[in-house]
Amino acid sequence: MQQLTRIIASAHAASVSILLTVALTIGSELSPALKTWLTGLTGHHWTSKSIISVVVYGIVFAALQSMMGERSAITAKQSIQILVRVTCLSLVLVIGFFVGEYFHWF
Amino acid sequence: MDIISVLTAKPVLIGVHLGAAIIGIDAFMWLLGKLTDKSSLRSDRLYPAIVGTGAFVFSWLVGGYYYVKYYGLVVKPVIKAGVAPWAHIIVMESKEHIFLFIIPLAVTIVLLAILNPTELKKHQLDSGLLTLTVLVVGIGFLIGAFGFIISAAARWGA
Repeated sequence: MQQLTRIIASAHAASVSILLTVALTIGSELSPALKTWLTGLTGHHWTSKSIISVVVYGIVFAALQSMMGERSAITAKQSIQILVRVTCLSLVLVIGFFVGEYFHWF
Repeated sequence: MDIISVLTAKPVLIGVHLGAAIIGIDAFMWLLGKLTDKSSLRSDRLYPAIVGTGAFVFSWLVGGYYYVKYYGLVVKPVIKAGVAPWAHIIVMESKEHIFLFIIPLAVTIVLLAILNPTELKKHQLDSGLLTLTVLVVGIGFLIGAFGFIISAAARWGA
C-alpha cells in the first residue's frame, strides 16, 4: 500500500530532521565555529536551522519513498513509535541542555 | 504609515504568530475529538489535520520573521538585563528550537489522516495517530506557556 510507504518515509524523515535540529542546536552552543557557519548561511543561525530541518525532512522523505517497496503495517507502526520516542527524547535534551547551560552544569 | 508597516509592526506580528498557533492547537484538539469519535469519516480527520498544519506553518513563518528581525535586537537585551534572564537562556532558546519539531510531526499526522478510519484500525495505526496528535497538542501548549513567560519577562522583568 503506497500510503503506508509515505507514512513510514515521513515518520523516519521527521525523526532524522528532529534529531538533526537537536544536534545543530546543542552543537552550535558548544562550538562557536558551527554557530558562525550557520549564521553565515542565511544571516541568522535559527533561520539556517529552520531551512536545514525542512530540507533534510524533504530529502530523507523523498529518498526513503523511492527506495522502499511495499511496506507492512507493522513497519509503519514501528516508525511512528520511533518518532514518538525521538520527539520525547529531543524535548528532554533541548530543555535539559539549556537548563544545564544556565546553571553552568557543563 | 503604509499597510506593510502596520502588518510588520511588532504587536501585529506577535498577535498573528500567537493567533495562528492557537488555531493550530485548536485544530489538532479538534482532530483528537474526531479520533475518539469512532463514527468519524476520513474527511472529519483530514480537514483538522490540514488546517492545524497550515496554521502552524503560518505561525512559524510569522514568528520567525519577528524573532529574526526584532527579538534579538529589541527584546532579548531587556530580558537578559532584567530579573529573569533565564527566560531567554532557558525558555526562549528551548521554544525557538522545539517549534521546529512541530512541522514534520504535523505533516506525518496529515499522511496518517489520509487513511480512512477502517484502514487505520486494520493497520493498527489508530493509536499511533492518537499519540502523535496528543504530542503536537502538548508541544503546542508547552510553546504557548513558554511564549507567555517570555512576554512577561520582557514586560515586567526590567
